[in-house]
Amino acid sequence: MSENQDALTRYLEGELRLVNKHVPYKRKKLCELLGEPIPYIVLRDGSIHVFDPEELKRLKQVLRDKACDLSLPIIIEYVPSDQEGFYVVNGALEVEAVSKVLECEGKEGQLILYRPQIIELRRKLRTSTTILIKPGGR
Amino acid sequence: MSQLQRIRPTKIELIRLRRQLVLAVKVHKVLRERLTILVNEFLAQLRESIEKRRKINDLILPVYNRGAGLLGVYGENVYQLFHRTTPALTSVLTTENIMGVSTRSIVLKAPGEDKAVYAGLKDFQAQAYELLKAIIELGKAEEAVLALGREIKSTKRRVNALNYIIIPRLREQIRVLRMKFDEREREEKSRLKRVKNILEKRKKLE
Repeated sequence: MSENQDALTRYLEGELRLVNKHVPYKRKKLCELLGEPIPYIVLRDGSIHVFDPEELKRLKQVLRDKACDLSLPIIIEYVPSDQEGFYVVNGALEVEAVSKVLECEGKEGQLILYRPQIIELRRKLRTSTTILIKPGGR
Repeated sequence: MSQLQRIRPTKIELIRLRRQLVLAVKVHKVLRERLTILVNEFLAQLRESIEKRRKINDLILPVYNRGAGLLGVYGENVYQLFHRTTPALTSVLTTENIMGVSTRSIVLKAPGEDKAVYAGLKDFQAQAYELLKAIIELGKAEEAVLALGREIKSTKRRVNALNYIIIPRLREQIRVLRMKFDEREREEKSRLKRVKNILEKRKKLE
């Protein structure tokens, strides 16, 4: 029985490890990505994620001079709660980019988004945003 | 029940089971969140694929009409003519990752400037390029829908397994162990009382 129990523990721990396997190993700057023939990043599970060049051009257009400092993909944290969870974007440039794309306002380097906004954002910036799950909440 | 009988009734086992229950509840919560996000992504991709399909339906008729017109003007060799004059359109097959779900994707590289000028050809090229782009976008969206659907199915199974089998079984095992320990404690108490009674009786007799 203890062997079965250990297998169960291993499985549960493995699930927790794998839930954020799509997070990038290392983020890249927007200008660096624009200079590449096929803009891509390597994820934590070793797979490759390719950016849509049109999305990159759109971000460059939105941020203008500051565009080169933006690290991609933009990470959106999912914060669970008892009711419907919400999503948070951190970082001044990231907030500026997302708020301009969604035409809303962020405060003090943080932007809170709800499900309809996330659907809209993912429709507009599908490849250049990624959702991170925080198991323990905030 | 067979699972329950095989547990060693020790305190260490109880501690381990309680730790496992905490972990299982945490994993269940995380997987449920992931499932919610995956379903959102699935619906978004589904909406996109419907939109793309509509766009293709709108684009395909003008391209077909223009192609038929060009066939009438230049004759049957029109497609060989296109092949010689149109700059090559290259595409790169890549992967895209949506919430840990890897889907196939294509990066289409726009053709260079075409120097040859034939009446009606430029518009046809532009329209055909738009149509091709829309078809590729539709393929990407439908591939993502299928991959997300498969992932949702497997995640749902895991969430249900945790919710209806693993967590209740762990709770039941903990309950059984607690009952056994309580029983032992009661036995111990009654034994002590009995010993005490016997000792008291012996004292009286002396």
